[in-house]
Amino acid sequence: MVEAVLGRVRGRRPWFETPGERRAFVLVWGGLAALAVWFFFFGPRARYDYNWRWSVVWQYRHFLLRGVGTTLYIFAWSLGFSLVLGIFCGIGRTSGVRWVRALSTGYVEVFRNIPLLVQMWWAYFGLQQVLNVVLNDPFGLRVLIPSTFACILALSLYTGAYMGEVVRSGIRSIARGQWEAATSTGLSQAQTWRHVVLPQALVIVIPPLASEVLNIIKNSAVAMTIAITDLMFFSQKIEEETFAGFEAYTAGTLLFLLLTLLTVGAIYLLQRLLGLKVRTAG
Amino acid sequence: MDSFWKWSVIPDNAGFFAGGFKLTLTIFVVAWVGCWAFAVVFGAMRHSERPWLRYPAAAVVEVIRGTPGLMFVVWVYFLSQPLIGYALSPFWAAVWALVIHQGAYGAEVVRAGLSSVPRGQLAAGYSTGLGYAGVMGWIVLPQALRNMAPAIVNRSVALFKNTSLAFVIGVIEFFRAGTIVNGRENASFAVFTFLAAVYFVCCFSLSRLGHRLGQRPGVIEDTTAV
Amino acid sequence: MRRLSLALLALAVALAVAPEARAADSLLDKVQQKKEMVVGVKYDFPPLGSINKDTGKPEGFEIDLANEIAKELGVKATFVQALSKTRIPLIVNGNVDLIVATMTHKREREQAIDFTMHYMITGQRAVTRKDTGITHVSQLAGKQVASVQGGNAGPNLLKVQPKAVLVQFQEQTEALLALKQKKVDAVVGDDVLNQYWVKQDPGLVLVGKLYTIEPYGMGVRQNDSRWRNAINQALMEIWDSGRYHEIHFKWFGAKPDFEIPWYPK
Repeated sequence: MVEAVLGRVRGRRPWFETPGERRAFVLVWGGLAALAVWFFFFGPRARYDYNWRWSVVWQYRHFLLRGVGTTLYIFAWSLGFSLVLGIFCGIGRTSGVRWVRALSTGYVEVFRNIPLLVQMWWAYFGLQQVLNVVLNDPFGLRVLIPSTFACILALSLYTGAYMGEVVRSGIRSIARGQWEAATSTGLSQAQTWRHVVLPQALVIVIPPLASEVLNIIKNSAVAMTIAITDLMFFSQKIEEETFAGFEAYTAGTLLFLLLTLLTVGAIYLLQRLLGLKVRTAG
Repeated sequence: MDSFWKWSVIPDNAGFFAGGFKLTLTIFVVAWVGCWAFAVVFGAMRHSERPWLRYPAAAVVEVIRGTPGLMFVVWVYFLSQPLIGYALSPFWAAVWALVIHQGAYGAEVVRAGLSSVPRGQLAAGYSTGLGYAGVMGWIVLPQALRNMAPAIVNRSVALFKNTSLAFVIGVIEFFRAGTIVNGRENASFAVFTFLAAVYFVCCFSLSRLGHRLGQRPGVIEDTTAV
Repeated sequence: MRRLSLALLALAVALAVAPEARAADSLLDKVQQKKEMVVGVKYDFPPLGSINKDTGKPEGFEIDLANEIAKELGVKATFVQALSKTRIPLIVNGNVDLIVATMTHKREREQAIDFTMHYMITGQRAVTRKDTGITHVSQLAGKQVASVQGGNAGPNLLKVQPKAVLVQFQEQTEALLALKQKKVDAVVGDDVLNQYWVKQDPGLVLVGKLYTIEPYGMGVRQNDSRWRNAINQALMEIWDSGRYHEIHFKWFGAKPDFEIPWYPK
């Protein structure tokens, strides 16, 4: 779809193939836009008196920046851990050893079927209680689980399960013949994995892997509920201080979208740098 | 050691947990219907050959997919009044937020499902004299639905998990019931393990169903998670 | 294509002539018309607002007060949860008609909403575990202190002790949980709740003296004098008839030690 849009933007393809299409576009979308305008200015919504204060977004930009910083910090650590977890899990799920396969399958099923919210709260409060009872109280220690640690732990385990599935589908798509050819040239199991199967598998699954990476950013918003001062938290904080809810949440949403776009761009660049043909999902 | 095994907290508050679970199920069922209605409309628009339907639908779906679900819940609840002039209750705000957010992901599933039916079949259908409705109803939809079934189940599991997000706006669903009980009793391990176990049982059974449905050729790969 | 354009035209005409719903000029009219008042209350703040263990329904001093006000106005009260961070948006956006949720009447909050007369006066203080040995706010420098998002307990603490590190949760119960799990060394909040906690758990102790004064006011929509006056007058009726004292005794075990800013008919 990117090519179709780009083609139109560069003027090589017309935006509408027939005059009927243009008329339909104007009628349907113009009509909806007119409806929206009427609704906004003359309908029941207009009775609601709201003075727009977009300047608060600029005023509180340092809040938003701090939020973005925390979100990126969580994102970076979770990305690293979940990629590693995902690759090992994917390998484990296709392994010939039964207990390895069972363990990986168990991991994937457990962590994909429990909401991230529950996992995070478990990691922050539940695990802390376990530590308190087992370690802290008997020995007088004070090992605490900070909220960022709990968040990164939960997010990595959760996303790692999804990535494991993705990697597994990539590995399975590598033809059996490659395995046999590799073994016949004398490569060991580990070498085959490292030099033949994994590189191809990972390249094949870049699109779904990319969408998992984006999911990390979006899912990290939940961290606000365990007292992490991320972007979501600061959007709320601006709303608390200025009572300009619409503006604050719009700013937060736009920043999330921006982070998503930047990540998509980074993955695109990565593919280019590695000399790969650029693949987009859907 | 006594607080570690505070499992008695669960049966003591069973009624409260049950009430929360019932609300979770209610949100799930209502949002499921709305979500797939939304998904069908936008998925069909995205699949359409007319660019004036396809691009706006794609824009809407992509923007919604790029936003965190929690943000949507908060948006719909607090900004329903400025946006649509009507204040939604927490339950309905959560339902609408889930409908829109999960519906955008569902639109992708519907689109992939519609594309999974070979174009030749449509041409063959038209050539035997069936109209658009006939081709859709007799040829495309049955096959598309069979191909989409595991992806639909996956999305439904995701919807069930995301009902827990409603707790930030004060809906006393299952997760919030858990946190309220935990706040009173200070039995984090027991309560959260219990919550996780219940969610796991529900989602796992659903996803097993999807797995069984997925064991046929032609099934589309559902790569949209969350 | 012709059918589509005709359909859109018909829709546009229908919308243009459709009678527009006139918003009630005052919430008082709307509430009395619907015979229902939506009240935002706390679910995490015993004895003012909490969830009953057995019935799952909200109960507390503020809930009883709101029910009495509803009776005075001749309507029924339905309750919705109001977190510290959601109570003002709830009023501003019209999700609720009245907020009775341990909300301090602050001058800066008057930018967004209006307040009724205050119905209770308390203050803020820190609570800590016995084993931390903290007896004064000055000892909180560099320590982790829990509070609730949206409340003014956190910012107020920073005014008194700028070196404290705030950890902000969704609800008071989570802050207490973090204190009990030793993740934080103190929790700051309104003293009403602090006293309740200390009574329930002998391992907790109050820190020093109150460092703010918090008059609780009920929140109403801005520029709606008729609604605000109705609530104020209902409150005074409840005070005059002694029902306020009964409710206060029921939840606090003592008569109130302050007077609401009463004025004559």
